[in-house]
Amino acid sequence: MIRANESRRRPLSNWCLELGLMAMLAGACTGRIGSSGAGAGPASGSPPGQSGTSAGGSAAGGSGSGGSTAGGSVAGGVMQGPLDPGRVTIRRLNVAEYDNTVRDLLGTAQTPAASTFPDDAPQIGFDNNGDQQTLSPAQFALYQQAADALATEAMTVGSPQRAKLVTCDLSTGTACAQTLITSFGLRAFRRPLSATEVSTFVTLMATAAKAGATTDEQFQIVVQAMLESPNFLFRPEMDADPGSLTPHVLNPYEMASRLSYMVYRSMPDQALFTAAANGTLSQPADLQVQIGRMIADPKGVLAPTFATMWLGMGGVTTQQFDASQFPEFTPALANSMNAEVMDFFNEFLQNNEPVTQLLTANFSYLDGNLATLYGVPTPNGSGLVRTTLATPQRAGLLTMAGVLSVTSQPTRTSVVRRGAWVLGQLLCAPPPAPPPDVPPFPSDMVSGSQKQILAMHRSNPACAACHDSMDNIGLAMENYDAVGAYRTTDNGVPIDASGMFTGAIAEPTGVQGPSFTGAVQLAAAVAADPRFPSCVAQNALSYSIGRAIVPSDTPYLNAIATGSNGSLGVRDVLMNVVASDTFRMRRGEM
Amino acid sequence: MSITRIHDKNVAFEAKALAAERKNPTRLVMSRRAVLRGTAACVGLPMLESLLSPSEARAQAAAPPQRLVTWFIACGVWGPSWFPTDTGANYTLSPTLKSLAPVKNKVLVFAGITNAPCVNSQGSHGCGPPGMTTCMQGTKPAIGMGISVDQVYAQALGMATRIPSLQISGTDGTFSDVQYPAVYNGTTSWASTTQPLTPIVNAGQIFDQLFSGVMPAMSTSAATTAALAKRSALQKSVLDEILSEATTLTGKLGKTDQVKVDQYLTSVRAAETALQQSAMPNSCSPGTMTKPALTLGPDTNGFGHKIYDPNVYTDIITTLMALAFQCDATRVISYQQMNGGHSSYSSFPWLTPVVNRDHHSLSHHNGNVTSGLMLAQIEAWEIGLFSAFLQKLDKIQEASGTVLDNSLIFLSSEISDGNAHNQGATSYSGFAAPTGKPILLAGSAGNKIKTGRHAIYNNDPQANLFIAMLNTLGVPTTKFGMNGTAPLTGLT
Repeated sequence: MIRANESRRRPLSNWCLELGLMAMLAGACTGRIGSSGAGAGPASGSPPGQSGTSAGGSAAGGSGSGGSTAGGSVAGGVMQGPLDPGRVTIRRLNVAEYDNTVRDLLGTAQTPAASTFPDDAPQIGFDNNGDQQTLSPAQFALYQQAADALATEAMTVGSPQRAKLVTCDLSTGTACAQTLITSFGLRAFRRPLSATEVSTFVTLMATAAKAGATTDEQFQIVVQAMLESPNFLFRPEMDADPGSLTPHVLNPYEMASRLSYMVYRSMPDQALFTAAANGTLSQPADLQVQIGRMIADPKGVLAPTFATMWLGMGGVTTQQFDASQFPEFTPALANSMNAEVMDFFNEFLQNNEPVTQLLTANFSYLDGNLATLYGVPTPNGSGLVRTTLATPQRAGLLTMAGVLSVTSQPTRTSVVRRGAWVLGQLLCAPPPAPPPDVPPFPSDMVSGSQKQILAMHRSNPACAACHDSMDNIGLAMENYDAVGAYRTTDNGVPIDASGMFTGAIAEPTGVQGPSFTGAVQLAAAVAADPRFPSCVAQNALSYSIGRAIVPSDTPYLNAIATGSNGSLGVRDVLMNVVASDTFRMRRGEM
Repeated sequence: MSITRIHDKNVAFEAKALAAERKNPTRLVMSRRAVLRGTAACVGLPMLESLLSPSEARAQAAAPPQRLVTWFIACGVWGPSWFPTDTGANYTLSPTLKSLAPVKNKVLVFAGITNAPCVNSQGSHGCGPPGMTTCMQGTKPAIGMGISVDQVYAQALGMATRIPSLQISGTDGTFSDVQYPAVYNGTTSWASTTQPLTPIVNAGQIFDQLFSGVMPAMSTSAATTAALAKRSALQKSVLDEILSEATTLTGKLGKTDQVKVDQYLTSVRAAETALQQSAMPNSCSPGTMTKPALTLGPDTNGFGHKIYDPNVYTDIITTLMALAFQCDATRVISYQQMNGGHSSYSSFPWLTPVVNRDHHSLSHHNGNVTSGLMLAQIEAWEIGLFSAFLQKLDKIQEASGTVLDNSLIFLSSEISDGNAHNQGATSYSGFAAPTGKPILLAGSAGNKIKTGRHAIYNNDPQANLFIAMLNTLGVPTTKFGMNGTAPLTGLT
């Protein structure tokens, strides 16, 4: 039984329970990132960093271009001793990755994962976190079913899938089979097969022949077996000595898969296979060339994938609102809310616009639905159109309806959730989980404005410790109702949207403030806080390598959050990630 | 590694079953194909006895199989409407439990039971669903639960039935509550501390498993016995190949990765077993039922949320469950109607009056009676679905009693009360009757439990109830979960 961090918990009121659900809609760094500042946090992910105890030598610092982490001393004095790039737990293809991979491997239009596999819900952090993945007999039965159907389609005479797969005449003998096993195996396992593996599959064909299989059926069985193989369903990365803590660079094919699943959520493309074969995937600069190419490729899904999970936007289209209070919240509007955030973030990634402007930009992507909600003129054009915001009420992500909606309750705004969202997703300093034995919220505290209610609530000193931070941020966002429309009163009471950084969030700096009035000023304050770019770096690294952030990542994160020429662009962050040793290297475990 | 041990036990049971079959060839008189051909003419329930060989029928008359079901409902209950206000055999059904009237004498209603794990911020909705069946507090971030009560029984039964156990859920949506791994929220069956058995949502897949062959890859039509044998041999060759690959792979991995590949190995071995069993006689027939092809909906929130119409879905699923028990395809089923988060219903248009609130938010009722009564409406509807299931089981007559009589059907939730997020008693303003974890136990495992009562306990652990249930089912048990130390008394 684990009761992480119990001693740090303080009794709070029932309002803390809202935070339980925050974890549902915004898992990205809730509850773990706090660890990097304050030692082992409540959920510090895969086996905690071995910082300071690593037996191995210094990680070979990428001395190449692009802000790769250099070995040696660490700014801020967080770490002493050798750097530790950490260890990533073996990852299974998730739903999106499976369907994309069989699409690229076989040219199929089937989507067995989306149709039949269990959902990979946003887990702790991102949905590609190997530590959080499981596999069960019922799920494996679905893999069998999918593999059977895919292999059947791939061998159907006259199908385009077969033309892509069967490039020699199988009836001519073993040589053709070996060729096909070698070429298909390379792409299915995302690495060359060993000679032993090739001969094993030749033997499998012979076994099938004995059972009465035709030549075609024999190869179909090979395809099916490869699609059910652990080498296909998982992404193994090998250590020469799994018990050694000495870091080593990934092999080129493992590197190709890391890049590919990060940007395409699919198997490596031909350029990556070629680069792996040619040995041009070892240097940070090599990786940056590849990722630059891949981000620009239409196949890239990095922007929507990352933004959705980082910002908790997966909840936009499943969010529930009381229809009598918010009739404007239609499925069409919800889709527009989601698209606004995605298009906005994608522009930052493609054009390498500054991270800080994610929170301060005076433009966005709007359609008629959103323009009506925001009270601005409907832009010309179809779909969402890049629009300069002709209102002082909106700037950047914090005032987007999608963000404001996913942090609301069905019938009202939630100051607590919004505050916790800013702390958790933007500053990576989430409030601790609410304590056990929370007393019921007194029934005489259920009328009045949110501000009045919360003030009473914080009058309990035990509550104040955490709620000072959350509430003073969430209250500054009260000018936006539960679905993100601007308002000036709440329950008939004029809104006072003043707030400040105070309580736990001000503790590390030792300074109360800055103060702000309204979400636009709040956003500017967050943008100016050094914890914001660091938090973007933490999320980017966590997504890119598929594990939770641990304290030993800190020096790498400092490098990832460092831009060139005094400006850090969104694409810079991803470029820095792939050049970092945390991306390029791994180690075993004791 | 415990998984391996469990598996090895299964293999041993399987070997025994196959050996028994070789000794007793009459069991093979009716091939699976013959059954499938024959069933075209069979209509409706019950059809079991006509398909049993005389020796099987005699065996059944001697000892009808004992079944176990765990049935999960989400978000706790509104106590004042759930708990009866009088006790004993002549108690009055509470408003929420009214629909149990037709089977009242076969249901035991509990008050005063408490469960240990997953209280408040220990992840009520996150670790609560498996907490209900394992009585263990889940770990985080590393996945670690305990073995669930249904799997203790399934592992004791081994290969007694064609399908060792079934896990079914009305949703595959899961979420991570207070940073607990999302898999907890969607999985009430655990074969070991690190092996969740994620449920099947697709009713068609369950239908295939019951009636067309266990292994999905085997469910496509094979016209002749020879074609079936060939297909079986080919699938076996695939499994042999990947098992060998996985064994090679796991030998090169570190210990954390090995746990993940062990789950794969367990799953492949289960598939091997299923393949062998698919050649065993299958006396299950769908009767008049055709393969369900459900579409998602109703789209009550307008966003295409992955939820089936719960009324239609539960009706189909409970019919499949009843058929599975009737033909002894399995004896162990866990059912999770919903979870307490994303996939909780957002509105209940089929209720009168309509409830237009989402279940989870409503369950944080803050003591508000209006909210409480809406919750009670939802819960009464859930119990109606449960009651319909019990009645289906009670209509299937066996040599001794009904299938319901020869079962233990356990129903509870991940918490007691949605507002308090507790696991024991709750105080409600103006309600004096004893409360506790909402628990129903239906059926008597062959008249071994005294049902038809409202029984009051004094904060006894739910784990002790599980110990008593397992002992009743013939699985000697002395400890269970975090705090189960002795069988709950007063059940007989």
